[in-house]
Amino acid sequence: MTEMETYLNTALQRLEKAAREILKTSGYDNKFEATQVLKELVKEQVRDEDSRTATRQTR
Amino acid sequence: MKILVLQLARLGDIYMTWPALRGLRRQYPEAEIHLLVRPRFAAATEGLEAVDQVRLLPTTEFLAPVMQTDADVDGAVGRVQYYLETLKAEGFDRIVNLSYSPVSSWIVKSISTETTEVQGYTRHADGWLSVADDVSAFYHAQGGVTGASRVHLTDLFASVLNVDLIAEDWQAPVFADQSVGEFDVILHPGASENAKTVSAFHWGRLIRRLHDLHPQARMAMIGTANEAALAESILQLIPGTAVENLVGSTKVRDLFPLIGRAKLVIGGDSVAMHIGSLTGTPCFNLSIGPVNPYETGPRSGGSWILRADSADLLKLEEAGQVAADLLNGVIPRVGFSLLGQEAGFGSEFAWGLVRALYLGDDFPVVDDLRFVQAAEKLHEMNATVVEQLRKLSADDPFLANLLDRADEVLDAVVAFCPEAGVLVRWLKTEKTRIPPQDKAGISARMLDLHEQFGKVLRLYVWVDEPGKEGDHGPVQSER
Repeated sequence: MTEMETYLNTALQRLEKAAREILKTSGYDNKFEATQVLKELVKEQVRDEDSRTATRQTR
Repeated sequence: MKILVLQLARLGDIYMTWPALRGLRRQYPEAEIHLLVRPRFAAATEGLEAVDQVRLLPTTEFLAPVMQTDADVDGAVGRVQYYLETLKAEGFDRIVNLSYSPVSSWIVKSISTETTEVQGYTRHADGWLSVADDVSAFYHAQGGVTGASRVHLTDLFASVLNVDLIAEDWQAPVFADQSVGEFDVILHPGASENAKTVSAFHWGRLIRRLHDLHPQARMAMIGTANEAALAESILQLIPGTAVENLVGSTKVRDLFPLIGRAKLVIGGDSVAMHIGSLTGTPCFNLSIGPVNPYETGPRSGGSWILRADSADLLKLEEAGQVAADLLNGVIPRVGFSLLGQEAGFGSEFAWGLVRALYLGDDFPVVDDLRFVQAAEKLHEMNATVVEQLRKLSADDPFLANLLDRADEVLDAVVAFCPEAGVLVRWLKTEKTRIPPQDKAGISARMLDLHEQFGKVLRLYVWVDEPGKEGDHGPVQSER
């Protein structure tokens, strides 16, 4: 795993933890949705921001 | 009316969106139309007069706080939240998501309200993916590299926007400074992924063959600075062919006059093909690897596609001959065109199933025993699901377990017979469209879907049911 991939995976874990905390404390809200946006952006970076692939992998 | 269109994919996808946006502008001349793109690909909006405002999704700014050793997750989330709230405050009446990506679905959910008209991917109130309209549901189920769709993305985008396209929607922008030279053939060897193009060796052979057949043809190679090494490798293999190397020295806007004046563009599934569609330049698409040329191939008159699952399978002599034929205005012997009737690639049967499911055509006659076996297995499973959905209470834990098991059967059958995936993906996508509600409501919707699924499956299995003698489908009529 490259240094960048390590950063990204760590970031993903932190975002997932943050999302769980938000759901626990304030429930499904705007902040939770913002966390999901960020999480998906990081996931795209893991795939080298391959937005074409990203358009095809949601199923 | 204030409309936001999301197109967060690459340059080529943005160019494929141009005709649909022009159609939207024609339909709503007074509307305020905004287009959201990524900064990295914003150059593809230059010259697009159909939108009032191009908005950028500042991904680098969002990601910066989390891309460091002491990641500031709260700071990053705060930036995204502020951006989304600002966008939501614009009060768009209609939001059309043409991106089909997870991130875009969350953005749409976050910036829409109960009164916003939404097309494309969004999220249900409980956060599950929601496919808002029938056309996007079609793409979700049947589109993409592994799908059986033969609908071009430009047509798909226009359908999602609910606009009819006219010939004038495919037009190149005119920029003031167009002094970039004139060539007969433009070569674009690069692509967004290595698997979508051929090697320097392949390109060298193709160019050499074309040069031998057309020694007078003036050729130029285009691409980004990242593709400079590939271009150099190719040029070393073709001494004496006098190909002008423009790789890394052109802006995206320069490609319009270069491609517009050319007689032929040769490339993989890349931006050059999509610009060629707008300039009306014949394109020769070397369709390699994980792409679906029916969806993203060149549409300009005189264009041609040579398809191979990998570069190794591409017949180089044929490719050189096809390029020469296209320069001569001759219809090549191999390959196909999106505008013609030539046999393309992929399963005709699967495409027939798609047409039957979504366009109301007759279901195709099957001649593959494997598909019949797959349909029988699906029918058996589906009959059990329908029976239990009718019988059991929506709260019965056995029901949830049964549906999970049914999903496992669906996946196993598709692995056994990929063409059955057309039917299975239809069912799965329609299930995602069921909004959150009480268990009884969900159960009723599931029963309805499985009954519809059963009706289709009965066309492909021998059902010996009293009173069903008249239900003859494609299989029975063959027997």
